[in-house]
Parts: sequence; C-alpha cells; structure tokens
Amino acid sequence: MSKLLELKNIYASYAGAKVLEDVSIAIENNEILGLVGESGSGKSTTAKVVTGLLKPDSGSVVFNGRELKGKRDKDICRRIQMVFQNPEGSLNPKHKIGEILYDAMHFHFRDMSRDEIESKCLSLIKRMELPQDTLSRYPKSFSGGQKQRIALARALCVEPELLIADEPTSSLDVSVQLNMLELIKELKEERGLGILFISHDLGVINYLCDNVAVMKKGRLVEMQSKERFFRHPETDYGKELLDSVAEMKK
Amino acid sequence: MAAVSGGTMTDSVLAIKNLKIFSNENDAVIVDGIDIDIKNGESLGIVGESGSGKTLTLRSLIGLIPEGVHISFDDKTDNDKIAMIFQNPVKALDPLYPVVKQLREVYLAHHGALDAHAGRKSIGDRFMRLLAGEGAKNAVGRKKSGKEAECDKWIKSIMQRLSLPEGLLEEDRYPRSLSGGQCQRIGIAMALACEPEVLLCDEPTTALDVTVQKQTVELIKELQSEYGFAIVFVTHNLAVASEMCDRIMVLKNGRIVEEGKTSELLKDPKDSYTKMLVDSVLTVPERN
Amino acid sequence: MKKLLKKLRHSTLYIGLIMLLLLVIAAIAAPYICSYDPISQDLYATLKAPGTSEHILGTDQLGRDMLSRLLYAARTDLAVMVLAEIVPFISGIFIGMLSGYFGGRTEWIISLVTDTFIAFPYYLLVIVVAFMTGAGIHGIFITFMIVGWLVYARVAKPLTASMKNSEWVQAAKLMGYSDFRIIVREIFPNVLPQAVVVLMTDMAALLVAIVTLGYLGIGITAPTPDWGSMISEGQTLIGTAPYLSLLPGLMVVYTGISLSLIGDGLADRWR
Repeated sequence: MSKLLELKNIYASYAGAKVLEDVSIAIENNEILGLVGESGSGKSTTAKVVTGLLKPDSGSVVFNGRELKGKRDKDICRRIQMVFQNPEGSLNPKHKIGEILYDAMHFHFRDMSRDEIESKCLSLIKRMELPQDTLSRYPKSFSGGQKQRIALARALCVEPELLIADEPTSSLDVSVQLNMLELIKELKEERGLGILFISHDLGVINYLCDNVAVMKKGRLVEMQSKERFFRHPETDYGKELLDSVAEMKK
Repeated sequence: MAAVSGGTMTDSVLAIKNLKIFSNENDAVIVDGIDIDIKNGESLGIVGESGSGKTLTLRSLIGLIPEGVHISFDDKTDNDKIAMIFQNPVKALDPLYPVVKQLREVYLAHHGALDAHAGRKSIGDRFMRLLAGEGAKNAVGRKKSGKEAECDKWIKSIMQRLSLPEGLLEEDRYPRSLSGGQCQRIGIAMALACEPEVLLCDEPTTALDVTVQKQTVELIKELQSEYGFAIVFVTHNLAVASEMCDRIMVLKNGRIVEEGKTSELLKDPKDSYTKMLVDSVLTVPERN
Repeated sequence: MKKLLKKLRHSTLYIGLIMLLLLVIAAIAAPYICSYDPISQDLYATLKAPGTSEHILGTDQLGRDMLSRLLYAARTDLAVMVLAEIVPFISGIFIGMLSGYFGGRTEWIISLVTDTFIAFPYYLLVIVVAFMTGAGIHGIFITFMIVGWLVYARVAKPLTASMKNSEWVQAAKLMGYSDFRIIVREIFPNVLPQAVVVLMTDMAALLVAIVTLGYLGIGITAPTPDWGSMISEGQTLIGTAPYLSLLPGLMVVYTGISLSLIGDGLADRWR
C-alpha cells in the first residue's frame, strides 16, 4: 500500500537562497508526523512544498502514489489542507465564517444541496466547540483560540486526507493550547487523517505525534518513532534539542 | 490575593503597593491592585497568560507606561538602578545605529560622560563645532577623554564575557545583521552598563530558538550570581519561570491569583487556575 | 471637553453625509422646488439681488432665476462628476490589483504604463482633447478615462501586494480557488474601503476640474447651466452684483467640503 505522502530528495530555494537540501519524508494514513526544528531549519518551507505553495528546484512530491507536477487540480487541493501559525491572519476579515465554510464546500461538492451544506457547517461548528452564532459573525469578533478552531474547521470541511499544521498552537495561551491539541488528536482518529505537525515545542510533539523528524539548516537529520527519539536520540543535535527543554523543577 | 512576603518595605530594592492600571478609554481596570516587593538579590517570576496584565505591571515598575493607559498606586519604593530587557531583542535596538555604538552611548550616558563629543558625530554636529571656532582638527579627531577610555575597556571585557563576536569591535554591525540571541546579549550588556540593582525581564526568551533560550536563561542566572542584582522575570511559560525564579506570582485578569516559593507553588498549587497552568505544561519523557 | 471633541471627530462622516445628501436631494427635486425655468429669460426682471423679489436667490443679467440655475447646474456637474469616475475607479482598482497580485513581469509592464501616464498634465490634456473634438462634456470623460485610473491603481497595488502573502490568501490558494476568483472575491473587498476614501477626494478634485473647464468655456457649454460658466458670466459684474459669481463658487466649496468630510470620516472609521 502506498504511503499517503512522500517527499523524495527535495531541493528548494527561496529568494535566491537554498532552503531545503535533499529532504525526504514519508507520512502514512492515520499517522501524526512531528517536524521539529529551530528558525532557519526549513520546516515551514517543507510545508510549503507539500502544499504546493512553493515549487521545489528538484525532487518529487508523491501523493497516494501519484507524483504531483505543475499546477494541482481542484481535487488534489481539496485533499491536502493546512492550518497556519498566526490566527490573526488566517481568516479573510471581510468574510463571515458561514460564507467561508459554505463557499469552500460548495466549490468542491457540487452535488450537495444548500441545506445539506448548511447542516454540515452547523455540525462542524458544534464539533469545534464554537458558539452557536459563529456562522453569522466576522473573524474579528473571535479570540485567537477560536480563530484557530475556525481555521481548522475550514481545513476539515472539505474532507482532506492530509492535514498540515504549522505551529497551530504557538501563539495561543497555555490553557487553550491543550484543548486544541486534544481536538486535533480526536479529529485525526475520527477521520483517519494523516497529519504533518510542525512545532518547535518538544512537549507538544511528545503529546501529539507518533513519529518525529528533526530538521536543521535545511536538512533532515533524524527521523524516528516518538518513543525512540525521546529516550534515545541518535544525533547530537537531537540531544541538544532535548537538553534545551525547560523542565519544571518541582 | 496573597499577602506580601515578610520584611518591611525598607529593605526592598523595588516595591509597589496597590498598583492599579486603567485604560484611558473608559477607565476600564486592567490591573486591579497588585503588591510587589522585591528584596535584594532575589528572583521573582510573574506568570500569566495574555490579558493578565503582567507586561503592563512590569513596565509600571520602571515607568515605561504606554499610551492609552494610566496608573495609580499607594506607595512605591523607587530605585534609579533598574534596567530592562525586552521580548523582541532585534526590535529593542535602534535599527539605524550599529550595536557597539549604541552600547557605548548607554555606558557613557549612565556614567555622565555623554555630551556632543561622545555622542553621535553627525555632519551637522561637526559643522556646528567648526562654526563655533573649534577648528577643523578638533571637530574631526580628538584624543579620547578618560571616561571614554574606561568605556572601551569595559565594552571589550563585557563582550568577551557574553561571548559576543570580537570582530564587532573592529567592524561594528547593525542589529538586523545579528541573530536574535546575539541581539539579546547586546540588550543584556546595555542593562549591565547601568549597574542595575534590579533587572526586569519582559519575556526575553520567548522570541528565541529553543537552544538559544536555554543559553540565555543560564547566562542571566550566572550574571545574577556575579553581579548580585534582583530579577523580575515575566513569562507565560511556567517551566522557564521555575528554572529562573525562587518566587512565583501568578496573575490572571489583573489580579494576583497565587504567590509563593517556586517549589511549593508547583508541588502543591492552591488555586485552581494555578493548578490548571501546572497541569498544562507538556513534559518530555525521561531519557535513558 | 475631551469628550466633546471626540464626539465631533466621530461625526465628520455624518456631517459630510448630511451635507451631501441635502444637496443631492435638492438637485434631484429641482424641477419640483423651483418655480422658474433655469434658461427662460425675463428681461423685465434682470439683476434682482437675492431676497429682494419673488426670486429667492435673485436673477442674473438676463433675468434668469439664480436658484433654479444653481440647482440645475448641480444636476449637471454632480452627474458628470459621478459618471466620469465610474470607469476609472473600477479599471484603476483592477489594474492595481493585477499588478500587486502577480508581481514580476505583470507588475513591470503596468508600472511602466503608470509611470508614463502620470507624466500627463490633466488640464493640458483636456485642452488638447477639447481642441481635437470640440468643447463639451465628452472632453472631460475622455481625458479622465485616460488618466483618472492612476490614483486607484496606485492605492490598490501596494495593498494587494501586502495581502498576497497573508495566510488567508494562501488558504484560498490551497482551497483550489483560481487566481481570478481570489482577486475578485477575496482581495477586492479588502481594497475597496481604501479606494472609496480616495474616491471622495478624487471626486472633489474632479468637480473643481469640471467647474474650471466650464469657466474657461471648454467644458460644459451653454445653454446647459453649469457652476463654472455661471462664475465666468458673473465675472464682469463682480463689483455690482457679486452674488452672480459668489453663489456658484460657494456651491463648489460646499460640495468639496462635504466630500472631504465623508472621506475623512470613512478613513477614520476604517482605520
């Protein structure tokens, strides 16, 4: 059975500088792969290559056994969705939440009736634990945590197979973060999603992910199951990252 | 609200009683009566989420109150010797001047030797002095005053101590060409130039990479034992606060929810909010 | 006192809107309010000062009623001002958005065109067009269509360029929406408010241009009443019957102020 997503020997550059060097990653169905790295490691760029927002210089992106080349068609776009780091910029300030979700579903599911779409929107909002009147409101009336859940709803309303989460909880308060992570975990089980979860926070990675991939300066330096990585990191850099985690001295 | 830990206000290096902060717009209360008392050499951590008022409280201690807000308090033990380091280290430096120049300016200003000669030598400056009859030679190159020589010596030693690149002394660079960690160390150097008794830290590691965060926290702790200043460390990260501080104060919505010694607070949090914060810290498993 | 000033600042929009609305209603209702026809002459009732006869605002040297001339001129001038803006407004915003969104070669070509057209002096251009096609309203329309879009392109381009990299545009791309759809349905609603603010001041400037051309005799021509030609006709009698030129002039100032206040008010609101 082919993997959900594979990056094979990706080289990529941005604004003239080399950002990714020989990066190869694989994600299975129903797996949460954590991608860790510091600034300049190339983790966000990797996300851009997976989603097609950035074209690699060489190498291939393979989705469900099919290589993705050039401009992606509508259906492929639907199946790979993303949640971004900054909740303030994720939603178009001039569109109501209901419009955002309805437009997306109507665009992809042509034979769904208006009523069907509306009821799906409502149940999605409820699942995300958002207030009842969410659909008729504008983004600016929501908190950061709520905006992120709306962004998650948008990503999931078109029933993707692969979700890329680029530091979705980094800008959120601690009390809200745990809630969001639990939600992501549950949704992954419910929908059988594959998730590429990018974060600099190893505590979050430990909580959520099945496997861990470590990036440094545009290269993939280590890739292991979570248990093995945290107990026995292979590389010096992996060890350095684990050593830097602030521990609660009780 | 917890009581202030023992001792009178007089052996504090910095203290404020019943600090209240209001928004100018509708007199809304942002911070509702906080007491802070910092003793010589201690480290106080102020922990809270967004909207807790922790940053505004810190700024009130040093008088850096932003626009749109006003404060009131009952009593204040002031201190001239306070310095502060900020959350975004690159933005905390003047983008138009190279870093060593800025550091020099802070040192000389603190030691009272800052005047037209020691400050920025702009073309306008030189022209004015030419007109004043100083002669071209004087306006362009002079022998350095005593204080300036001291300054140079101090800068050299502090840059070594803080592991800043020696090359900066020969070829000064702008903040934007340094890393976040390096800019933060320049910020720390500027703070040390003021010979502070209290160092205020406004989430100084949040914007830094994980490995750099650890180095910075360790550096601040080392400097504290070398120089003996007190620290007030504001953060949303309970784990970082626990590494840094002996006492922690938890803020929520402008009020102190719980306050006490770090080890006690973390082992046995009394307030449910504190407990929630402690439980929300995601840990990393033990290593082999 | 502070609160009073604050209230005043917040009401610029409403004051401007009310002012403009009054004028527009008066202009539309002109045929019903005015008891006289704007072009019929009454040589027995020439140069009656305002408030001295049945003509509320007096008559001009040909006995034509000032009130109806002013209001009918408002109809013409305001209509031309609004209609002339339509095409440049829409096309300018669109061109600016294309330039900002695609960048690269598209931006380069459009910038070249913009920089060239900016060099064209508006009034000179109108005079040339007027000489080529004869005086009249069409000269204004043609000229404004050639250069009027520039301001809007200049506003739309940087706005679009800054929005291009925001996460909600990236999310739209990920959703599979076409570039055209993103520009029109995602970006345009965010550009529109700023463009409307510019529109207000641009219309005020255009009105002054229309009136100036009427004054020079190469814009709106007789017998259509127009504030500009009214000012020019009243010029020779400025000593004895100043109201002939003053009243139309005041109308221009009034309209300009109301548009300015609306523009300011909107800008404040949408900040």
